[in-house]
Amino acid sequence: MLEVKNLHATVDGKSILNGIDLVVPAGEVHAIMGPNGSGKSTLSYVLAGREGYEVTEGDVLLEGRSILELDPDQRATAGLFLAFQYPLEIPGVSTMTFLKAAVNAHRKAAGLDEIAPGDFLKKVREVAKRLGIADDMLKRGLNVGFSGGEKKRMEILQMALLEPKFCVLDETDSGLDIDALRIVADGVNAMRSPARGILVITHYQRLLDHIVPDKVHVLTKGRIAKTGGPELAKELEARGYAAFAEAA
Amino acid sequence: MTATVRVMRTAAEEALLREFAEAKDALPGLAAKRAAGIALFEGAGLPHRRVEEWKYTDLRAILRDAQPLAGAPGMDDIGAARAMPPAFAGFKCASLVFVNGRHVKALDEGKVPKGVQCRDLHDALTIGDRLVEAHLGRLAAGGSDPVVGLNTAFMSGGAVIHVDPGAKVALPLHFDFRFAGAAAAIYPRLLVVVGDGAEVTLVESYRGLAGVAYQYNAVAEIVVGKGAKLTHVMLQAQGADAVHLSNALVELGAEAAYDTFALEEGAAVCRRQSSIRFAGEGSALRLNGATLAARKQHLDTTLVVDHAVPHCVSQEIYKYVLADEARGVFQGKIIVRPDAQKTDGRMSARGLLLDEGPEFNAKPELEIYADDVQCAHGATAGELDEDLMFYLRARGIPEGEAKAMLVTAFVGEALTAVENDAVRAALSARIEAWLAANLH
Repeated sequence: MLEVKNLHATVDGKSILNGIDLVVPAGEVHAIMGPNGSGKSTLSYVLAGREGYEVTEGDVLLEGRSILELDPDQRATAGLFLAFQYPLEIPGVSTMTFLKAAVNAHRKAAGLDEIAPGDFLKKVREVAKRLGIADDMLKRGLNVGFSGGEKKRMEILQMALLEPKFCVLDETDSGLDIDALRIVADGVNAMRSPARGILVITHYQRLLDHIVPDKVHVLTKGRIAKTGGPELAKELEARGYAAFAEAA
Repeated sequence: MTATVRVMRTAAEEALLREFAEAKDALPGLAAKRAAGIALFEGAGLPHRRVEEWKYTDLRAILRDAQPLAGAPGMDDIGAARAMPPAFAGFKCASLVFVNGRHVKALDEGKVPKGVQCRDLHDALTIGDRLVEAHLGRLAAGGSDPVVGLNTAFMSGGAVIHVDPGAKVALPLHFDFRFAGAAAAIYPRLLVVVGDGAEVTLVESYRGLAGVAYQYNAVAEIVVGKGAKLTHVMLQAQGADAVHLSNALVELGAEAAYDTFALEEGAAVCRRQSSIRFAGEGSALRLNGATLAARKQHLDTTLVVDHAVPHCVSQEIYKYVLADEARGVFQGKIIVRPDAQKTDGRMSARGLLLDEGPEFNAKPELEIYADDVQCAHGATAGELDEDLMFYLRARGIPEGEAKAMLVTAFVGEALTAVENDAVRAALSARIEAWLAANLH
């Protein structure tokens, strides 16, 4: 599904990713854990194609096809979804308008007609209800005045509507209390499917109590230092990242 | 021997004075006011960059040639004007159509609603009119603006509109000014008197074909009665080679509401001035606008809001979207007179630069002579937020569409002054069309 091969990337000429190798097959959930500054967010931005993140070596394949030459919107419509660590507020663009534009952009790329307004509304309401998102929030400007937890739920709502092939969740647990964490985790778990791969990027182990990964990778200094099962997350929580930093 | 001061005049200034001397006997009515208007112009000349209010828009340099005064439109001009697409799609209104400044009844659409009297200004000036005698030139009086002076000197077409006291007029009235034909100068005048307690929506639009360097100098004098509510929408979509000058002079009675929005997107050069005076307590003003400029367009909006009495609220929200090598100018002055306590005045002007080339000049000013007031102003200029662009694109929205969404949202804040949904939608559609043609 997603293959990251010897990925090197720089930001402002500074080398951040130093040869990441990673394979997440369809149907699996992998977690990447790492200390601050290990390159976690850089990896998510490089995958999504953000400007200013330069790949100097290596490749990223989605379903066997390199995505590095694609623009961010083309990567999205090719099936890659990034849930942002800090979802942005866009005053003046209503949440519904935004969601519809995103859904229709995906449909257009797939050669489909625009979604019928009735079907769209029904679908949004259904998912929003499951995520505890009030109707009133959908009418407001995108994320404007939303709490941290509401913004993260909105990310999951988008993910559910766009039905990506591969999801990258960047620190989705940051800023969430326990209740919000559970709602968000349930939303992610509902996305688990044999056809879909999910990469959860996190600093803390607690999210992985709710979204149990098939594999855990430890990222330090822009490289995967160790790979293991879910128990590796517990070990990290107990021993800290320092031991792995040495190993890298 | 007496030393004489010789005023050096430009060719355009000479031509305008000559034109007036030749045309004055044929111009309809108001000889004394016209003479005062031309005297004002003769004394000051065309305003230039050393006049503080005109430092960004050097009209003397811009108006190298004065076009001849437009005559009554010929059949070809009327035919070409008739062929122009509608200014707005999707809302019903009663339209009065003016070709080259003159009312052409045959092109009017819809019936002027009950409670409104509309009269052709040329007729009113020729035959005489009670409102013209009472109000025309009253708001312009005492002013020192030679551009207004020129309009007073040359005005021949336009309309006089009276809304009966207490009339609630649902159907918007559209003054649809179209230009067609050979280059000429047009001086339309509108006189609007909204009776006490009346409610009405007025739409002005100015359009013409590209490729002709015609010149417009329009003045509207607007009197809003006690407790009246006027919604006033202006569209400036003149031809690409035109020069458009306009002045709105507005007097607000007590407890009145004046909501206005101007969309500027046409002409090579435009200077639009609005001067609003609070003459009665407890009134509210929303004076908003959006300027969309590309190529080498130079579009200037200059406002003066005069809080002459206490307990009034004014809000100005201006949005400039500038592409290519366009220049946007915003000058806004809020004056709070010594007695105007409890004034609330807020002004904001924001420029969005779509390329490296455009320039945005903003000069907001507060002149406050009262102590118990709340006033604020702000002006900013910037580019599209890259983080927001990335967020939209990461959801599959292509670059062009993402830009259009952000620019539409940026402009949208100013559109809130238009409460009529159909009118606002028609303005949004024009903004969308501009974005589709100019975002790249």
